[in-house]
Amino acid sequence: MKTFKMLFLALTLVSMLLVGTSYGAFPKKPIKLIVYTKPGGAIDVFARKFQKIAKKYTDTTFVVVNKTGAGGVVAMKHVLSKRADGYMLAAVTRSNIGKMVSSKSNLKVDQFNWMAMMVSDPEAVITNRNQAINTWAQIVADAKAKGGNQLWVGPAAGGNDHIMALKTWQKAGIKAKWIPYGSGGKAMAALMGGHGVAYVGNPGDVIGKPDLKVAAISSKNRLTGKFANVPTFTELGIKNHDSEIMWRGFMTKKGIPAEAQTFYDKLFAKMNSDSDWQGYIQNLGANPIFYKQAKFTSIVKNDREVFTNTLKEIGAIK
Amino acid sequence: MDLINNLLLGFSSLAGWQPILIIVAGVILGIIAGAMPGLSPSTAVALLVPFSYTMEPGMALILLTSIYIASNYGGSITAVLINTPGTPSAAVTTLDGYPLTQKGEAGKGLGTALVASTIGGAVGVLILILFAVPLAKIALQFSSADYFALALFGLATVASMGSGNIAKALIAILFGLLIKTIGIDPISGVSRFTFGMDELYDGFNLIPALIGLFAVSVVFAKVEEWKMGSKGLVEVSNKLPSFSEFWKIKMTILRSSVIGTIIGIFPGAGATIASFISYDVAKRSSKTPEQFGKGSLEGVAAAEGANSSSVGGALVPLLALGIPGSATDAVLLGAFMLHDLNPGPLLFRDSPEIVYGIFTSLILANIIMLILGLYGNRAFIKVVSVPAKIMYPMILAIAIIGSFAVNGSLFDVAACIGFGVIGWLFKRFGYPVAPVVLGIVLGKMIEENYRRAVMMHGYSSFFMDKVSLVMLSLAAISFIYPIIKQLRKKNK
Amino acid sequence: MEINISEGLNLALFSLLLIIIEGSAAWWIAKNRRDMLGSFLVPATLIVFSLILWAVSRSFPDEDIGPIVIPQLWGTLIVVFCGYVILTIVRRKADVDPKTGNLKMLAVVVFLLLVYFFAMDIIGYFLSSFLFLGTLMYVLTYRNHKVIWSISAGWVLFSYLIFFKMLYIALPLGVIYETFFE
Repeated sequence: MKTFKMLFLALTLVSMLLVGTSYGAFPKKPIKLIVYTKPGGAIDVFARKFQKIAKKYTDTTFVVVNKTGAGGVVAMKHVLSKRADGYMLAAVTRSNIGKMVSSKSNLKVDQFNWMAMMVSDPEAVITNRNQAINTWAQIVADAKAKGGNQLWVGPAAGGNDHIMALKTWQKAGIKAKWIPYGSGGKAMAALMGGHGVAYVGNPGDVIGKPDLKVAAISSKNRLTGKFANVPTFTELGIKNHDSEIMWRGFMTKKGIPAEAQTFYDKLFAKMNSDSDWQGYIQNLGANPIFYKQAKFTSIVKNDREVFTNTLKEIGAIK
Repeated sequence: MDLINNLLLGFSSLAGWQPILIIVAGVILGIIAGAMPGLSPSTAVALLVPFSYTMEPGMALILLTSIYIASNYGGSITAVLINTPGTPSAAVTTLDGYPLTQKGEAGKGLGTALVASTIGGAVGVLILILFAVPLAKIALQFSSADYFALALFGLATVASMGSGNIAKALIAILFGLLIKTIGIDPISGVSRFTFGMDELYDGFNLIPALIGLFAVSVVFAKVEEWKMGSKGLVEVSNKLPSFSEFWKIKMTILRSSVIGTIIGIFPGAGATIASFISYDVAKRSSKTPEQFGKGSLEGVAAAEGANSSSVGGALVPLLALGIPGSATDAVLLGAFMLHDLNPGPLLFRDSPEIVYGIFTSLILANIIMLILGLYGNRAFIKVVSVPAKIMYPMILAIAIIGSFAVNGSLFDVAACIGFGVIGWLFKRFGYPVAPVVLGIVLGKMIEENYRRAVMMHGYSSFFMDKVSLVMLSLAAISFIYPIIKQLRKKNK
Repeated sequence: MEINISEGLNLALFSLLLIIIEGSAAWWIAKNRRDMLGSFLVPATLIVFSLILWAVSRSFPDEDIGPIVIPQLWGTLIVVFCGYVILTIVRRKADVDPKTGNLKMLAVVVFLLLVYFFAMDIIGYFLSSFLFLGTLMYVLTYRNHKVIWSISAGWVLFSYLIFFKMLYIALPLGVIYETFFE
């Protein structure tokens, strides 16, 4: 009994010491960066680029941990299962919000601290250069001629790109069919093979694929660099269709210590003005940005509503 | 002449001891990972991506592709020796490889697998180097109706796997197909049969199911049998097949290499389907089909030639178009992007030293694999003489860590144990387990392409297209023929 | 009025009904075809499984070539072929069950595997693997203690170095470790 008491005392002391270390300056140990895909996935590449460039601004190491499953729901639940001490950061994208809804998980936007939105990637309509129909005007004319039988290819139903397609048809006043594929890559292969007229994705998808071209983007301004000649929907005469984006950013569990928050705010601000970071994002055909908590949270809330409505509309959820 | 110049450029980028060491390291890692159930080619490559990030781009990709090609061979080692496919495609290798070990001829099984893998790998890479661009263009022409027909053709191979009772083989494949409908349906976005479990959202993973059905179930069966001595499982000889034995199966190896490469080219088909189809074709065109399933060298060669050659095939769409042709390709695509490279036609123009460096390193990797394999086989074969009472606990421990490694999820571990019980029951009552794997592999391909084809052009799409019409007829014939044969036998 | 059997209590009742039917059929088989009971239970359970999924699938959106079609197709085919297998049993045309071996030992092994699975989450992968391997070899009547413990320790070391350290696989460390040391 005596030894047991001693052991208990020792354990309590050790744990108090360990808990004690988490007060004061942040960070005192490596930070886990949760990624919801396997190594080699797009968001994994994003997280590892961040990890590499962040070394310039902090001595703390970020350890990338891949927690896959249910399009990010498993990773989000993992974040929730740990203490909100700031030592677990998660890389997130807009499609996670869709999965929160479509998986019928009980995850709520308010359970997380949406810390920084770092990339805004405009949604784009992509066509095959070798097909007769490859400009936006030709798509519209062809869609009207086919009367609802024009084929658009893209990833799974109910995702970002499907929502973009539905909105585009509505704003342009045309009708077409959404043909979903298992992944964006397979859908692009279908477009290259001429099995559809248009693919919905992001400008970066066509990089390295000379057969494909971006016909139009949903953005207020044109992109710079290699996509400078791509017209926006506004230029093509489609009003109010300039803010469909795929975003990427970082979040933690809600309620992290104030000094952790300050650390991250400073770090993300520095990252956003780093030329390597900006170069990496612009090379993907996307815009580097830095939206802080308030703006990011309201975007996430709005996205959740959009996903809920669309998924109900197409019958994927009740 | 451009090609030769480029290949010389590729070889020159491999000059020096460092690239060679990297290839050797990649081949060793690949063989070990492949032999380890759970570390399938895609997982093995994915796990090494973070490690390769610190390397120079060319070297990183050489490392990863060497792992890719060697792991497809590695899967055969455990398949032959302990009836545990290290990779999904090696499930077919167990059909004849393990019977060879039971006969005490493990050396022949391993030797055939090694030689067939090397030749297959080389054929795949040669076709990749010579015809990547035109082949990729042809693959793109394939419509959903064609993919559906190809999948049905794969399904028809079940006929050559049943141990006589075709109804039970069909039940096994249908069980796999039904299991695969669990999870999100990408066509409609509806989640099916998930019962509110997040883990089921993506459906059952193939790897834990595979390990459970093959490895865990065998341990259960052997424990029930309870004939464990303190000695090894069987007396084995590490004698390789003789040259004349190899010469007899030369056509099988070449045919399976071509089949594997072609099927590998189609995005989404992959090594496993290639092995099943190649095995089926080999059995149908064999002079001794009755030997299949009982330790036929042709059976081992057909499976291994096809899965190794499919690597070269799968790299065709990735390198020529920037479209990943397999799960491993998808990981490789990420590795390219990590180094700011975009695979596709422009990469041939902008960084030929990288593309041709990969080509030449793949050729070297095959040669190194052959040499290492010949030495390794003598060591691997000793596994069989480990006493059963040590062997079986080890197999279970490997099965558990292997299923965990796929996604870092305990759910997969539970699934592996569950499939172990199912596999044990299935085998006990005469249901073959390989068709379950085939069903899980083909499930998505059949359903998605069927529904997509109908969505695009209505039900007539299957008959409008010549390719799909031919393949559908072939599939129908290969389904019906064995049934007729069995009925005739009964009537006699 | 159509009864919705795809969710909640109705689904539970439907499943229960199926299991009762299977149980009574098994009882009949046990009395009349004693040596084929196992051969009957496998297809019968598969039929029950397919019918439950079939019931659940009725809640999927009903659209042209929608998410219902394929699962119901596979389910129906399973019922047909399993029905055929059961028919051969009833007509005494099936093979008799294989002889049962050491089922007690098998039960112990499965039990150990389950304990190992749950222990991983509590005491962590490394300690539970060490104990599992040692205990299992002992249970399988292997008695060379030196070999038993060196193999168990060797595996733990191997999995730590290769899987945990080199490949960054986050093997569970267990709640006990996590509460005190993280």
